[in-house]
Amino acid sequence: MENKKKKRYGIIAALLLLVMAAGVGTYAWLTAQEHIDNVFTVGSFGHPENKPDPTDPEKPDPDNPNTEKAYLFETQWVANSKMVPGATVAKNPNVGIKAGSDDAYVFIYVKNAIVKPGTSLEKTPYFTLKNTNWKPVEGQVKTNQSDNSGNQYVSGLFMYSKNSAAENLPAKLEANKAAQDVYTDELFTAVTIPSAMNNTDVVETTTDPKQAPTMTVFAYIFGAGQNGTEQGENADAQNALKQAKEWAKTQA
Amino acid sequence: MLNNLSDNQKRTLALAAIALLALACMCGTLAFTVDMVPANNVLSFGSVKVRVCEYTLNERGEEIPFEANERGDYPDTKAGGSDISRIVRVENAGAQPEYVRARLRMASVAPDGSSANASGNVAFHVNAGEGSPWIDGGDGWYYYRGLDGRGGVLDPSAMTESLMDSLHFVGDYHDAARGGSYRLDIDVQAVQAKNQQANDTVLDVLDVVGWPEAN
Repeated sequence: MENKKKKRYGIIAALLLLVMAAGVGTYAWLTAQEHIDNVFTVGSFGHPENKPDPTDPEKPDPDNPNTEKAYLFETQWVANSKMVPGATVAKNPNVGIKAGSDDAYVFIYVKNAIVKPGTSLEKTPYFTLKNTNWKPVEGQVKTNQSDNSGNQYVSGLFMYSKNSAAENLPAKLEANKAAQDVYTDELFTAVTIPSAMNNTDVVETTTDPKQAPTMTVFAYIFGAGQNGTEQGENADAQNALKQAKEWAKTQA
Repeated sequence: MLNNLSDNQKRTLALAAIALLALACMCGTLAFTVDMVPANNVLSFGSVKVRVCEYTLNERGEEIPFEANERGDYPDTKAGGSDISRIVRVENAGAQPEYVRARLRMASVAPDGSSANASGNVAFHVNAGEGSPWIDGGDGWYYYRGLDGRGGVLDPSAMTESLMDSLHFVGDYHDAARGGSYRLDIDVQAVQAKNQQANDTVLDVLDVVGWPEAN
């Protein structure tokens, strides 16, 4: 009799356990997962080992190390150069990047704050481009003519354009497979001080370094291969130009 | 015949019958995962599968799959401050309707292989604003709600609208890469839509239960 009772309770317990197991099962939802990953490499530019050769500005000067780790050079600039009406001041901005860096589109923005605001254009110092390695970015430069014509520039955005794929597009400075550091060549070689300019036209120098007659150049180096939202042929050059224009607004 | 049984035997049989009935009821609730195959009486589970589909725009502005080549290598993508086209959608690759959610995470990977959260160096352009097919769940996941008023149920073979169209890097992402690269991790999860609730009313994706554990 006792054995029968044990069997009976055993059967009931087993059935209840089975019910419980089924109940637990209702919480196991059918699910699925998937994972993928994308790798983004980071472009890099290195500083050239040396400054450019003043006599051959697209080549490095082996005797002039780039101790400042700069990208933008003015090998002919003399600090605190004196301005003499009718004369020129040596100034030769040139951009270089290290061999093995990413290929890049290079731009220079020139900010001219030599004369006081409101001074006429004929009294404003200007420069002319050294050669066709550089071009003005359309609609982004200012000449010393009231109709903005001519090639005597007082300020604005310029693009490196040596052998560019299209007339109005920047060219790549090809550093990635270069055997030695690469340079754009000089944007210009000198700033001309107009004969009509006199000392009353010039920004007065104060103890505030921002209050001094200056012509400042800024370089913008944009890695090639970034199309952004641009499409079609030369999309990365078009995107570089677009980004440079945005950048220039912050420098003006 | 029952009359010949003792009271104890009758009680035992009654308990067993109740237990079997309960078991039958519980099995009934499992019906959402099974399918009958009359030929040999085999029971099989329904499948819930999900697939991430990535696309990008080519130079002509055409949408093309972003996929690995025959060696398993994806096209090299350079991190940059301007928009990088990367279109992410999710497909129901199973045989059951399902709800889906997805997560986007960016990590920097140093040359030694160590990774670090780089969410501060990227901006994802996601379609998760008001009236969008996706919704930010606030828990790191974007939930697919769809635009058809079904709460986000994704039918077999159907694909969601784009979760993301593009991304761009922000801040000083060059230094943040620590000399390495960036890795975008895309996780998607799916859970069955059937039997999420007793009635036929629309269940919003944010009220769905049973998501897999997140890593």
